[in-house]
Amino acid sequence: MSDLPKDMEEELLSRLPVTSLGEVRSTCKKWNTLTKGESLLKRHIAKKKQRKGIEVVMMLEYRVSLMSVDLLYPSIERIGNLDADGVEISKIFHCDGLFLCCITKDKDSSRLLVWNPYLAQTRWIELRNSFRRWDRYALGYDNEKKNHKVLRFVDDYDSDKHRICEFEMYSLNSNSWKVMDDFTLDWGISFTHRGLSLKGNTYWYAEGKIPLDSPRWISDLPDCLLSFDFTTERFGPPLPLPFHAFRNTVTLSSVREEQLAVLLQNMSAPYTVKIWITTKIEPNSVSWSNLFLAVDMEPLIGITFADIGGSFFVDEEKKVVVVLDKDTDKSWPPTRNIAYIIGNNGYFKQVDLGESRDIWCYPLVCSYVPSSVQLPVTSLGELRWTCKKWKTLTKGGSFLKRRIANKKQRKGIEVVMMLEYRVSLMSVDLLYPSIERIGNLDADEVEISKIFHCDGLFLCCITKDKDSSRLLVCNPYLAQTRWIEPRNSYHRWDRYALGYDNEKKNHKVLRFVDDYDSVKHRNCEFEMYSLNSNSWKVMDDFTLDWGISFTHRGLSLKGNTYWYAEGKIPLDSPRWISDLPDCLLSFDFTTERFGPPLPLPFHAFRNTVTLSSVREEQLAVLLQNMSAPYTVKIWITTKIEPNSVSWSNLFLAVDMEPLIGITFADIGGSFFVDEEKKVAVVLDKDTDKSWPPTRNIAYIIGNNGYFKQVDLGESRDIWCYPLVCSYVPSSVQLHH
Amino acid sequence: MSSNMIMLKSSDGASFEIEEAAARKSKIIANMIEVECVDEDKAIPLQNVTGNILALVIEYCNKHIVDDDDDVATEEASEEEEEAKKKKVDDWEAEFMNSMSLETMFELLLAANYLNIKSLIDLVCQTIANNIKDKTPEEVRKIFSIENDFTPEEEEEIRKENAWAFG
Repeated sequence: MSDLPKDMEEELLSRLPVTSLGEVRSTCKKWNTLTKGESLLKRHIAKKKQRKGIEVVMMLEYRVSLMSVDLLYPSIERIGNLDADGVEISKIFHCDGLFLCCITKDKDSSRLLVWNPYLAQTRWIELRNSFRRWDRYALGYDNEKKNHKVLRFVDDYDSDKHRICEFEMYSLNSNSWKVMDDFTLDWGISFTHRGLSLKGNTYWYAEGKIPLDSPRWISDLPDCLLSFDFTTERFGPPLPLPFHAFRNTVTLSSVREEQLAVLLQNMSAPYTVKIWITTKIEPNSVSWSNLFLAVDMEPLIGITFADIGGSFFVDEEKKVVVVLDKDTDKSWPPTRNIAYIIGNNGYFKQVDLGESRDIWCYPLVCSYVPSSVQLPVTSLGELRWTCKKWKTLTKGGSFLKRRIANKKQRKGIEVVMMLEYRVSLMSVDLLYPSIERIGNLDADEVEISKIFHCDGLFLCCITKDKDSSRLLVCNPYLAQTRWIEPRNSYHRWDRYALGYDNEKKNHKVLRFVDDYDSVKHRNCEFEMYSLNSNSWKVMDDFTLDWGISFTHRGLSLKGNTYWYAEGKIPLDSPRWISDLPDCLLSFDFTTERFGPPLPLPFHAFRNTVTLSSVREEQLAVLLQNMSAPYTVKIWITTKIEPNSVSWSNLFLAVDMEPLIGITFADIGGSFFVDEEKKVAVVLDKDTDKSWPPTRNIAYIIGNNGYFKQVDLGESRDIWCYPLVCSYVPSSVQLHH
Repeated sequence: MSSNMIMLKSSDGASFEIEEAAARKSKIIANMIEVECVDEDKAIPLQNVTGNILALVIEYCNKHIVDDDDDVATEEASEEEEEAKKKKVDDWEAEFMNSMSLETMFELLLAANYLNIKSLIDLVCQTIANNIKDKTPEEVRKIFSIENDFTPEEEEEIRKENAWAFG
């Protein structure tokens, strides 16, 4: 096999049915990649056209299956199931190989999922506020197929005649909803009239809106084909239909993903089913062919299709139509789902589709074309919060390993930020600069004032007022937290550090103060908390020669913590000090001792100095002078241990004066670097504009004047400077 | 011997006589004939095809000699005749493929690819695909002598990932 050319390998694999993809992808890495690629998919689609059976997707009894339909010797075979245990899908919409699935468990809770069965990828769509059971949905894409979108809307009156009107658009690219204008539609789309997506746009059968003051009994309403253009994001003009219907069964279907077919059946005699196909269809124009098929159903099944049934597809060549419904002709309640195949000259066949258990779940059919549109999982939190099954799955250690490996291949950088006392997981795209909040740490209304990251664990300080502080360790990956009770009490000016011993067997928290109070009394406490023993121990007085300013947050790397430190000011020194020595100070969590002062690649005094980790392996330091020249300089270590360090040449030097005019705040300047792109992302407030600052900003700086700003939202507290930490998922348990 | 017979020579030195019309099923040989680099007395050397495989290729080509160009002539045939003829070919192809091992199929595929015989590539690919479509990954690896380069964890994850594929 190894000597088969790639071309032949693709040719061979493209002939496998989509139902074999799972097995093929599990065979080896090469085939896993190959079967997800564009070129194999193209071949697969080409082959599909030559195949005999028609492949369609059906929803039967809340389950979605791929079916092969043979119209010659009528049979419908289930060739694949979507096997998502426990998920009951109540509605599906197809567009371009993607399916939008509505999952409605009870009347109050709906969930939305986009699914690409070819790539076996899914994405849960998080709600902006809440989904309603009667929401109308549509799936489409802009005319360059660059962005797939979901339209959600309600436009009804409730029982008190209050208008409920919401129009929202979700974009797959940005993974977010936006609220749209109120379209004040003249047309009403009934909940039972499912829209149909064709070439990226959606079409509905719509009826004129019933005026609020209309009599209860309405004998007629105008009707039309209504379109929504996903490129312009507007509804189109009402399009003509080849018939006029009122309260009849009208359903839509796609033909070769190019034309639209409409089925009409009167709810009163004559019960003729009529089908027309468009010859041209665009959001603002349509033309219809002559009647494709007209079949009187009375001698065949006696009754009509249900107004919520009648989902269908046509075979143009054989001139037959397959209509799904229940066996309502026999007895009530219906007991079977049936596919009725009807054609000219009394051609009529029935294919049983299995038991009907729920009289409200009418069978649906969609066309299906495999697609390679990617649905990358944007956040684990998203999954975790939406589905219990995923919760257990994603907690496994093997999933974690795979995820970390996958993470390296993904484009966006995932970091954790603290903004306005809230901690969020953010995805940073440096190519087209954007920073997206993909998950929140929602720790019941607590306001987090400081965070420290070490090995996937976060130490969070919660300071409500100057006297009460609380300490929390959390593992966002496992969604576990642990409150750390103080030995006596915490102080507002406590310094904290999170680390672990060199075998990663015990994670620890260092807490210390080493200051003089206003009356020159030394205030000195060194304590160590162990996660294993869940208790504090008092440590020796280290009598440090170095002072760690409260504003200089430490950085944990491979279990140990590093700070930028300045020489201690002697008690008898003059008020005015013009200089102090500085160094990189370390704390070794294995020996539980501070290390020797380590050299820095610069000397600074009262300047902005912040630390960051690079690939969880090296340390980066940022320096910016508080006086001109306001050059930001960043160095990265080539080796770092608690007792030795070596520095690379300058990683980046950017003069900020022409860019933002001023300097980063000494309590700001939290940053991270992208080594490959040679850029740094520095967080601060928009202090250059006006005082007080009103926004939190990420400044992306690089060589040759490269400079971008990304807004991180409103700044409400001038003392809460944005912080950024790297993030690696961890499976360290916090619960015992 | 008819004037439009040509000789093919396999990599291991075996010579085969074949009608030009049958040989033209191969785009490569057809090209050679077009540019007249075929000497009637000399055999065309096929470096990448062994004798036993070339024999199979020739058997296939001979069977499909009435195709492509001859389609025009049989256009008048009734629908039933067409269907009967197609069934006969299908049956022959099934029999033909049935007689060989998977290993031979791979060699035949390589030869068909080298000689550029589209319909034979289709036939062999489809047969191999049918052979593996209901197999487990372990079985597929065995058939193709593929080394499993997934760690057990990775493999488990791929399988879980594909819970959302039609299975």
